[in-house]
Formats: sequence, structure tokens, C-alpha cells
Amino acid sequence: MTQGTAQLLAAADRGDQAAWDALVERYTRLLWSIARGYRLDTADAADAVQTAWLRLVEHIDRIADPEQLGAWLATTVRRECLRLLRKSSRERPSAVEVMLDGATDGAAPTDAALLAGERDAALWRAVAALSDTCRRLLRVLMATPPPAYREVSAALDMPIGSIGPARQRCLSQLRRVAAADDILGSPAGVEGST
Amino acid sequence: MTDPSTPPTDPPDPVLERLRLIATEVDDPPELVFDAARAALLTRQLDAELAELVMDSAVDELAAVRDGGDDVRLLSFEASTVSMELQVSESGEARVLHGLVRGHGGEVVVESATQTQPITVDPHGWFSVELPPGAVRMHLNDETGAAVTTSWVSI
Repeated sequence: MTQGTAQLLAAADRGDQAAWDALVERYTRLLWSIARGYRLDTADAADAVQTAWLRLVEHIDRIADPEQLGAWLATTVRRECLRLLRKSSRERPSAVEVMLDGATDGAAPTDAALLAGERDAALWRAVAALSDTCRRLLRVLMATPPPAYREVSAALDMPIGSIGPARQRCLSQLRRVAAADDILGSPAGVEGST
Repeated sequence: MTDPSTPPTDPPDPVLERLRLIATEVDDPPELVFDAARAALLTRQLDAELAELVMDSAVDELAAVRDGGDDVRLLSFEASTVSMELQVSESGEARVLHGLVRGHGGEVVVESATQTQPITVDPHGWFSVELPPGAVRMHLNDETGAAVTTSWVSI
């Protein structure tokens, strides 16, 4: 999957727009998932992702290890996310407001209405109900294309070795919530039971 | 799984794969985000030296602790012979930048997403400018033709 990153970077550094577009296509959903994992709203998430791409253009000729490009971008977005989160916590210091924000942000209720399947909507809501750590980890892991663990590590500032176990734990947590709500594994035709 | 010799991924999980499909359906980046990312390549500077962002009080842990709820953000940029300090504060919807540039006697130009404008710098290197929020960077152009551009920051 990451074969060719070095060639794409080198070509983009020479001004090759198609090569750059390929990099954008490969990593934008990961960067977006990170920003959403940190509960940024659409405008702030767009801002964080764009800053990461602008920074890459500046540093395009000095990325030491192209295999680490995804991790480099993920780190850049994470730092922007932290900045935006600190800023909004200063602007909205009320804990109640933060909680309300958490409930309405991250696209759960409104966008869930767009889902065709009732159970997909329920599964999406179940993710939103997980602990912050698990919700964030799963949101990053569900990026397209599936991120490498070194990218997840950079995105969440977690040791690589802890990601596998945390993934297991969070998926189990999700399965428990889902089982309680009868979201997974039961036959079709139970719409409305949740 | 914690063995560092194992590949850094786990086998696909059906629930996670389902979530991946749902995420692209309900929380895919807006097309504008892709458009802006593709257009970012056009900001490539071929001849200018980069003045790296070496400190940002809004991100750096130690600086943030000292920040203590103050609404002024401090940024430092450094190139080989030039440095710039920026103070960013908010004034309603606008951002007010107070800056100090060292080691540079030429023109300073601020670039934002929508405009590029020269800034008046006093003999000691101080300047002020009011801008809309968004991504900005500064260009320091010398009479000798040497040019330095700061890293982009979102203000």
C-alpha cells in the first residue's frame, strides 16, 4: 500500500499535480478521521486537515523517510486538533456546554438519519457512546484505507504496542453495547426494536 | 500482538469493516476538503528558505501551561539568519497580529487564503496587521533577492 509513496513525494516535489493528488486521495480520510476522533466540528476538522497539507508542501523535500509520511501527517493533524480543542475549551468553559457539544458534534444523530440501515445507525450511535479513548481509537481505525499502526500511533500519541490490545478491548466494549441493543448478529427484520 | 516483529496490523474485524463502510457514508470529508488539499501544492515555494515554526503557545505543552487562559497566542519562526515573533489576539471575528522581525531589513508581505498584502515594518522591526481568521504565512523579501517564507499557521 505504501509502495510508491517515495516516488509520489518526489514527483510532487517537482510539481507533479497528479502525484500530489494521489497522496491527497491516500491520506485525507485518515486525517479527517483523526480530527473527527478528537470531536472537531466540520469547520475545525477542515482547518486542521488543510494545515497538515500546507505543512507537507513546505516540508516536501525534507521528509526523511517517505514510509513515515502518514505518521508525519497524522502527528501534524493531532497537534492542530489539540490547539483547536484548547481554543474552544477557553471559549466555552462550561462543562455542560462541552457535554452538549459532545452530544451534538461528531455527526452522530443528524448524519445517522441518512443511513439506510437502522442497525448501521444504531452501531454508529453505539460507537459515539463508548469511552472517549475507545471512540477516538475506533474512529481512526475505521479510516479508509485502513491505517497502519504507526499512523494510528502518531494520530493518538499511543505506543504502537498498545494499539492491538486497545483495539481488542474497544471492540469488545462495542460488542457489549451492541449486544445489549440487539444491533449485531440477529436476523434481519427486527427494525424498530431499538 | 505486542511482539514488535509482528506486522503492525491485526486481522480484519467484521464490525470494524462495517464501521469503515458506515464512516465513508455518513462522515466522509466534504469535497471542499479534498479540493483545498489538492490546491495546497500551488503554495509550493521554489526559491524561498522556510522559516520553521519553532514555538506555538497554543500547542506546546510548557507554553500552554504558562498561557494560563490568556487569549494571546505566541508564535516563533526561525530561518538561518532571520527570525520572527508573532502575537495573535482576537478582536471580534478578526485576528490582530503584532510581530517583530529580526535580521531582516526588507519587505514583509502577509499571505492569506484570499489576499497577499505588504505590511509596514518600523525601523526596529515591529509591525501590526489585522486579518480574517484562516491560514496565513509571511514572506520576507530582501533587496538582494534572498527570500524567506514562514511556515503556514492557522489563526
